[in-house]
Amino acid sequence: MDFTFSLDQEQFKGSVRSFLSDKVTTEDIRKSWETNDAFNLDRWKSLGSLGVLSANLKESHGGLNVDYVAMALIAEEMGYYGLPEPAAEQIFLTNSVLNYLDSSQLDNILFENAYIGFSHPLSPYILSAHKASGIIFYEEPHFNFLPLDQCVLENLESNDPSRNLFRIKKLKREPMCLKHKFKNLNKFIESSGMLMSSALLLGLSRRMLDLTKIYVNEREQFGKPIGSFQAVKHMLADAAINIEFSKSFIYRAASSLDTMHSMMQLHSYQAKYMSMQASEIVTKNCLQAHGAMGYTWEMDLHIFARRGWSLKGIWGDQSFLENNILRKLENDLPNLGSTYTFMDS
Amino acid sequence: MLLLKKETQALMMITSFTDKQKDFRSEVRNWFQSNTPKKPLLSLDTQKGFEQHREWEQKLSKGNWSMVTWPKEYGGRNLDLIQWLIFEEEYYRANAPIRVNQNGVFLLGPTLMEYGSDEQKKTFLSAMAEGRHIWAQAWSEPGAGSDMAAIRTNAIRNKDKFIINGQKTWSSRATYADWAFGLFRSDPDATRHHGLSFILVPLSSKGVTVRPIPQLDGEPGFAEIYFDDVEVPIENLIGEEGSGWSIAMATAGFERGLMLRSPARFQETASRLMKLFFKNKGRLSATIESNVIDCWIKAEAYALNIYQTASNIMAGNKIGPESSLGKVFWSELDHKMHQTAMHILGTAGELKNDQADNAAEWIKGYMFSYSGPIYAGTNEIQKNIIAERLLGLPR
Repeated sequence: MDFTFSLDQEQFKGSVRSFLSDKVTTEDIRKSWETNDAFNLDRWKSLGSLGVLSANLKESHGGLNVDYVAMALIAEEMGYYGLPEPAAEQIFLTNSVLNYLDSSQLDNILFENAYIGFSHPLSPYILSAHKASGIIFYEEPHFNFLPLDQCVLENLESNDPSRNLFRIKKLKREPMCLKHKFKNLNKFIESSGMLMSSALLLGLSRRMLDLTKIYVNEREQFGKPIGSFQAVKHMLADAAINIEFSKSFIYRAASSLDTMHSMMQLHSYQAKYMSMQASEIVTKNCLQAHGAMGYTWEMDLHIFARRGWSLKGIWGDQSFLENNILRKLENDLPNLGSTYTFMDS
Repeated sequence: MLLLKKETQALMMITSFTDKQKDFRSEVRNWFQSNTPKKPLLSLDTQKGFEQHREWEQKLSKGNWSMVTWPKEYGGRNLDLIQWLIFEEEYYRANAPIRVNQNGVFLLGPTLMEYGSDEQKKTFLSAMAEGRHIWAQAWSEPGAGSDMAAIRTNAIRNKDKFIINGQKTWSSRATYADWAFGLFRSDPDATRHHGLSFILVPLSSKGVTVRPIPQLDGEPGFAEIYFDDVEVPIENLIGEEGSGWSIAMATAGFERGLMLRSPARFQETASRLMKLFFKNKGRLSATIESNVIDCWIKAEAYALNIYQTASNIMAGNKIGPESSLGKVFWSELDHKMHQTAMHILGTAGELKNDQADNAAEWIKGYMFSYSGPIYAGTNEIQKNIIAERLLGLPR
């Protein structure tokens, strides 16, 4: 048991963080909204040359085989800065499938800095498909691939202008069925998607709280900063508590993906459940602490709130998570108790 | 390329137990299987129950289980925090009796370890571990509750003694305990956090009057302590005279944090709740189902957070005001778990002799769960600490 981050994991996070803080400002995000295209190809290529986009690919695929704990830490940062490009999706979804394919299958799929869109029943809409070289989609029981020019796409409008969504309307030819030997690949991908959305949600929540901390220290009423009022303090303290107690689930779920833990699915349900609940409380309290300003388009808070609202429904919504958790616990009922938390069945 | 290659990664997060930790778990489990009292003890807040619980402390001590993280010379096993958490999990799994000396072993013990002199450690830690001294807390006063810096009870230095006068209240375990530790004003001219001293007082001292206060369960779990020219030798002063506030804050941190509130207790409650839910599921609503799931997840969240915190402490990091986050979280969770259980019990929820779902235990826990958000500093005070000291909001 060593529930800490390694130096390498921390360093990796630090380097991605400094890139994002430099290259993804809220002004950048707002500018991209005006063009209706959230995908900045230059930034995508920079992420590629930093090694971020291929980090978790296995080495024979040209990656560095970086673990999911490190990837979760950088997804958190991507959420924090509101990165509009679907880099987290490429890492947690696309790369996680590609890792189980033979190198020979990659010839037509993977090339340098390629963005490959992803569609799954738990998250059907494809992000920025117009910038993709192809699309991987899951249709039980197979993952399939089709180059973009073989798909007829329909553009959908998201409530979050940073998410340019598409749906496959028609396939122009039979897709290529991706062959692999990993029986539980779909379960793995579902867990990976939940981990990804949880880490993004955590980053978004942290950012909203940070923005609000600044606001309540500056904004004065009754002759003093509103952050000095206990009612405001307690709202933000509640936000901080919820953020704190969603963290460990995420890192443990990541660790369980790294070790192919037998309870990986449950661990990812927990992560998504808690980060979603935290995000709801954080969004509510932070918006409230901004008063009417929080309800405006002008204030940056909603850039991050919107992303969170979208992430709630995908990779396991509330009902999906509750139903699955309850089913699992009913099965494991005799084992519940203080020793269940780290049980490996 | 900013990334380091996997081969260079010396360490990875490990979220499973080593063989050595698993062996330790078996050792603890075996001991508790053969030593845990078969019949539940009487309430520790009755005279007879108190002595039964003292005997249990003595039994723990004989097995060297009083406080496994302490050095061996004081009756401990010199184990790390992860082993401590494993010990606690087995303790609650065995449904072993409540620690009547928790004020001692979990609060004063770590305080002495950090601030006590060698002589004090020698005198008090072993006596604590062996159950010879059962400890009460003496913080609050009628005029100093959440505002603890308003303490007025005096401890005036007179040569090699302190002379104590005043009144403490809400003193947990004081009704039957042997000793009390607390904060006293040693400099009557100083105000607020200044001029306070951390002093240990034998409750058998001349001039001490203890007036028990019955709690919601009817038993005197706390008491008022009156001090009337009580003489205490200066050897009972912990740390420097006048530096009591910072020592008390450290003790309060232990109370809010992982030492007193190890996660096992909440995980066991959450699992009992889950079993109660499945037993009665047919007649329960979707809201109750959601609440049960929510409670179970949060008990897990608390456990993982504590494991992560323990790992961080073992890696050399310190925790400070972060313990306030946990205190609010576990106390609200404990209340919600019991409240949900009461909803499930329905009409049986008032019966102290219900057999089917053991309602009495839930009722007891339900009432007790109202105290969590109050003691160790109310949750409102904790939220102020979080806002000001962790989030940097203005005072």
